[in-house]
Amino acid sequence: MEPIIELKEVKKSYALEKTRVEALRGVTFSVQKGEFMSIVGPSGSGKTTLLNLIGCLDTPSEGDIWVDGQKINALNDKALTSLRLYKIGFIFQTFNLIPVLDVLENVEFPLLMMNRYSKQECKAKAEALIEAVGIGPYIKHRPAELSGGQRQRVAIARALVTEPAIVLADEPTANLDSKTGADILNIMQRMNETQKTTFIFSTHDPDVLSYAKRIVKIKDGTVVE
Amino acid sequence: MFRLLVQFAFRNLFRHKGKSLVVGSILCFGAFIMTFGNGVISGLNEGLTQHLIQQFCGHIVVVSDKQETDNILINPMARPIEPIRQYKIVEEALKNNANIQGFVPALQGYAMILDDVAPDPDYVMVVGVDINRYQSVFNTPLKVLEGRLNHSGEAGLLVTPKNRERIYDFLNIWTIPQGGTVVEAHLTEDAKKRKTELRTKDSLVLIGSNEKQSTLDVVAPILGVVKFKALNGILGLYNFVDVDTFRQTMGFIQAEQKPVSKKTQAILDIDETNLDALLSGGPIPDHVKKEVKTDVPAILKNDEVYTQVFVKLKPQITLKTELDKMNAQFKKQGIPARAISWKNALGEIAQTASLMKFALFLFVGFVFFVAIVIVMNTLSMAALERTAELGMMRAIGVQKWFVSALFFLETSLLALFFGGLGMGLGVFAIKVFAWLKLSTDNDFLQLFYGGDTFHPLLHASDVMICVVQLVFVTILSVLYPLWVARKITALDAVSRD
Repeated sequence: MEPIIELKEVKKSYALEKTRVEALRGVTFSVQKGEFMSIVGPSGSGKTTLLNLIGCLDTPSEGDIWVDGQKINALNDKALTSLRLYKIGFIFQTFNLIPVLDVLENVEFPLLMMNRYSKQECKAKAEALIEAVGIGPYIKHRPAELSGGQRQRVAIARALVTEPAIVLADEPTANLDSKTGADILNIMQRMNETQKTTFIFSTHDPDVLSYAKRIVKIKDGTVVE
Repeated sequence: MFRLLVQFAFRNLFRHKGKSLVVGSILCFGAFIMTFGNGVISGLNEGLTQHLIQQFCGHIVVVSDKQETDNILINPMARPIEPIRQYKIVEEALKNNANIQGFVPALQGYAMILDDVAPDPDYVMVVGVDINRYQSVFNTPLKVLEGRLNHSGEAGLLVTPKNRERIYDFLNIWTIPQGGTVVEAHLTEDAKKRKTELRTKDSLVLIGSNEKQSTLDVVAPILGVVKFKALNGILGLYNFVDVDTFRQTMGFIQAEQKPVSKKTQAILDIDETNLDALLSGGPIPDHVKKEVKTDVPAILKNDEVYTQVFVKLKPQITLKTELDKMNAQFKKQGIPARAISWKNALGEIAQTASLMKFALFLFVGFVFFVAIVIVMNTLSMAALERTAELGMMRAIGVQKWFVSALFFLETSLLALFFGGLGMGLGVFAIKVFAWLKLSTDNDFLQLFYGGDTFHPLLHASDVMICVVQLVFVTILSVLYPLWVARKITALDAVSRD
């Protein structure tokens, strides 16, 4: 089976004042469709950089990355943005919802951007996912009126509504209490099982790791296990 | 998609109320200044057009082709104006021009007012014209304050209040029309104080001031005191006199009078530097004789001598086109005349008015510039403050065009509401000022007002200009913030996390 994500000798360095920081020093691995995978490692190990590259938010300094069969190195901004919209869902650490839109509108938003479905279809899909993540009663609430856990559920619904091939979550439970964090992980796990969506999440929380079916350890910019 | 954008933009504007109000207030103020400024410029234009073109000198002033300078109407150096030598031909050409609504030939020059008591004479500007024709062509620009206007062909002088004050200040004479009495309400403050010892005169002794000094002193009866309906502070420097009196005063001899002999004229034409030799009683030296001009100009025997013709064009006729056409015709037909625009003929007045218009335009432009800079800065800051939101939107698949459209729409909505409000306030202020009819006697302010009263006005075209200016300001203000917003990447948002 062809992997949904493939990285070959990926390096990433940043200019930091007069020095260059080597965030990734040649990472090679692949992810199969439907995996529920965690990237772990200490702070500064390169987890977020790796997720950003897989999520097409950034491009590698060296090496090649394929996402759902497309080599992203040569893609321009417009193509990368399209790839993110159609193939990748994001769940950020700090929830990052659009503050002026309510729950339904936030979840609908990527679907409307796709310009592929009618307004009714968008609404139906969004409502279904909102129900699935358990925040149906808050459908007309704005992000400021929701708790952290509720916001992260909205973010999960938004990430899944476009039926992406991959969902990337950067420490999705970092700002949540343990119970809410567990709830979020359960939802993600359920979605992985029911919708066969590939989940890749970064964490350094051992409790969160117990949910992962596969763990990629990263240290000093390289995969160690 | 557009509905989503509008909804999004509206909510963002309400979410960032403070910034919306700051940007909106600047746009409102800018639009107000633009509208009001355009109204003042329009009022100035309209006033000057109305008062100078329609009620003073017309669109075009025809002068002799020998006349070197253009600014003949306001002529501070008091240089004599070259006479048009073959007026009949000029008149024929003007009569046959279908684009001309009306024209008035006139003579203009400085005259001395002599007084037996005052040690020095006073100088005044005199225009010799058929006053009834002038009134008819220029929509009755002169209002009679005292006395009356000349009847057709009647000899007599019309004095303006400005000149009357000047003559009083200089010669201590209070001029009154023949058969008239002192009107107390028209006296200056000083004249009122000295009412009992006031020296009045109903005629003035005029002596022309020309290059040849070959003039006569003429007693001109004062028929009336007149003032221009508007811009009297500036145009009031002209006194009007009948054509014949002017010609006598300036030494343009009339046909029915006996022309001077060639010899006498030659003596009169002797240069001032050689007069001493002539007056010493001895024989005129040969070198002086050589300089005696023996060819008396034909104009001195022609009763149709004029120095200028005020030409008023029909509506819709373009000044520039007509000027070119007229000058080409004069040249082609060998007519010894040339046509100059009213602006050039008015010289300093038109230049000052143009300068004020330009200054006003600069001020409005400066307000534009300040508004653009402040709005641009505020919006750029707003874009940077929204890095997390915009970056996250880009991360989930929002293209740059959507971010641009959102930003542009937000600014446009602000411009539409607050700009519209500012324009509305500007229109209201224009209406209020027009209603107030603020008047002034100050010459400078009269030019700024385009008349005696401040009368800003807005045509539909001015409103369109304001809208275009507002759109221009909005687009310019949003360009840089748009660039900033478009440069925000998903990575910027993640990095902020």
